[in-house]
Amino acid sequence: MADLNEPALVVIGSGASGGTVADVLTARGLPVVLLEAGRRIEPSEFHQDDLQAFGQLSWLEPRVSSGSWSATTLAPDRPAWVVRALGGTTLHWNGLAYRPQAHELRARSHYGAIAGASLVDWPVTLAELAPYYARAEARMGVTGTHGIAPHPPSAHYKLLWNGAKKLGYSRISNAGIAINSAERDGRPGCIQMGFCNQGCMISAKWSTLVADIPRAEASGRLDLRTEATAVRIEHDAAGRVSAVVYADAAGALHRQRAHTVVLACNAVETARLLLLSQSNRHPRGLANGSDQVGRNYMRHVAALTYAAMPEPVNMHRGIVTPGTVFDEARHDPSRGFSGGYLMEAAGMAPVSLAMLLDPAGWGADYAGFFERYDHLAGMLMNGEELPVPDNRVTLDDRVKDARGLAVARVHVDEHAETEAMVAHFNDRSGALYRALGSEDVRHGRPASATHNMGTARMGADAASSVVDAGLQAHEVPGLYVADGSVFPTSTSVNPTLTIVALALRLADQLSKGNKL
Amino acid sequence: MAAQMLFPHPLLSEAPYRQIVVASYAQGDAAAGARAGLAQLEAGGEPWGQRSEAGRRAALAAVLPAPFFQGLRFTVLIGLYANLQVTSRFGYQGPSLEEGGYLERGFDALPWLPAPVGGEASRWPI
Repeated sequence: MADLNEPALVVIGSGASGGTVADVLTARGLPVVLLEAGRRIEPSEFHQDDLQAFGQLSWLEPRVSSGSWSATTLAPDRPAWVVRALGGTTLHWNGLAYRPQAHELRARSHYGAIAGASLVDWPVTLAELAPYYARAEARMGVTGTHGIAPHPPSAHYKLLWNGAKKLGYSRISNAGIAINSAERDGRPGCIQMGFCNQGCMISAKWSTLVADIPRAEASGRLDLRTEATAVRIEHDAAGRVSAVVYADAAGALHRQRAHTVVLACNAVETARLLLLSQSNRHPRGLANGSDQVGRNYMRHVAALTYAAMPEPVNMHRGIVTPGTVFDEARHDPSRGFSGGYLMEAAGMAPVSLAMLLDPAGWGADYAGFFERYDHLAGMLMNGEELPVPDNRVTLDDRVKDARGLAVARVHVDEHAETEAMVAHFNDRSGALYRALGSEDVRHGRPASATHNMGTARMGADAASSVVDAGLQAHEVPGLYVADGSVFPTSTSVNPTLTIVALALRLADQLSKGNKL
Repeated sequence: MAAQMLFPHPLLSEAPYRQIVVASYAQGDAAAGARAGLAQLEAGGEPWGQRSEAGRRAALAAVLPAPFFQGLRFTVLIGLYANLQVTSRFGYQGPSLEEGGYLERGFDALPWLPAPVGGEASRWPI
């Protein structure tokens, strides 16, 4: 372990952004201290069982849900489902790695002003980010890029494709997933096990646990400290970032001096850590003179549709999210909402589906649906959620974590357009399954969020954003944010590929002059 | 039996329901809570044994918002649908690592619909 008093480059969080930054910087000769709140869990220890895996991987410390969204009543202490382990949420992500559409990074210009939403353009364009997307796809092994073959179509994907064709859709793909279709980068090809979200036991799916972090360790320049929970970031008299205080597994506090800090804790905990780091200079929390930290929290508009088909599908066999329909991703306000959504086929085990589909469901009708399990098919909606200033992460004034620190309170009032988008998705997804003969289609909305974005948005204006286009905090030199917190808008695509692309761009900037 | 009324399955005997209830409500405070819950369910109206199926369902619906019955619903849901002995009757197959996944065991079997054709394997909207 490095000298605690020697100023270090400290990365907090080892998921998609933190793991990527640590790997690139160590590869270029820079020593990195990587703090991870969770422990190291080897792929051989994962469970192909939804409940066991949930207990093993999830961030289970309490949080508080509030607002009009369903988490307030259905998941009052678990507004967001993320991972607390080395590798972070890359352990349970599905692997869907899509680039956004160019107009989505110019949302304010393209959609116009929308009442109740703090819509902005990104301070970078898709064209500027394109080289980083290309590098991210190569590192992660995204199928359909760099000559990487797509997976063979699974039954669940074939069903989605047939239904989409019946509706006249044409943008249907089973490519764009960071799961090896053949051996690559020292990791094997997928054998279609299912259980992508429980941690891939053969490491065919990209995660920082099995790709980036082992490389960084092999460099000899990574100082990895697991079960090290950051509790406070400090600055010096000049206002520059100077240290990270963290608690070890026994609860003892340590102060690691730092010349640079990269925050990569997922959007809920990144905002919480900034808000916890109050000082005389930053009485409302670090980098929060603008009162923007924690605001504009976005999840993606999520919904699910499951249908009993006339013949077997066996959606549990193979990749959990085997393909997607993109036809509704366009911006078309005639549908009654701004932005678009993806229709992502998603296999689910009986217990998870029974918990999610109708959180109050019971009786012969509900039970009968699961009795036809091998005939079920379904999809998740991933839609652009508008940023709303009062949808925000704050510190809860009652609930404390094991270290006595205020936990995050996540407040969401659904924007009026969300209802229209969900209704549109329910109509289209229902039509897709009915077109193939289903007479029993059911809809639901998940209570907890899994995608978390926007709580430290990036922008040129220090009064309305937290970090600049280079991801450095406007108010604190040396402090950077690398995770989904910096997204100014949510786009219609899953966030991880963009998080990795932004992390690569940041790593380039931090390692200028250090290219080995 | 309230557990069976919550998630009835003609394919199943009483045994899995009985296992769930015994495992969670046989002893101590849980048993006392279960007795109180049962009394709440059967309170008022005709003796339980003389009620129609619809009458019993209506009684269960009326008490379901109570904390005991919310707990019972969750316990039975988990007990049934996380139990592979139960869900295998519905076609679920559980862990697949030891069998080598489904790559050679039917992951792509959908004989009742045509296979995808054309150039759709390309990426969208990239």
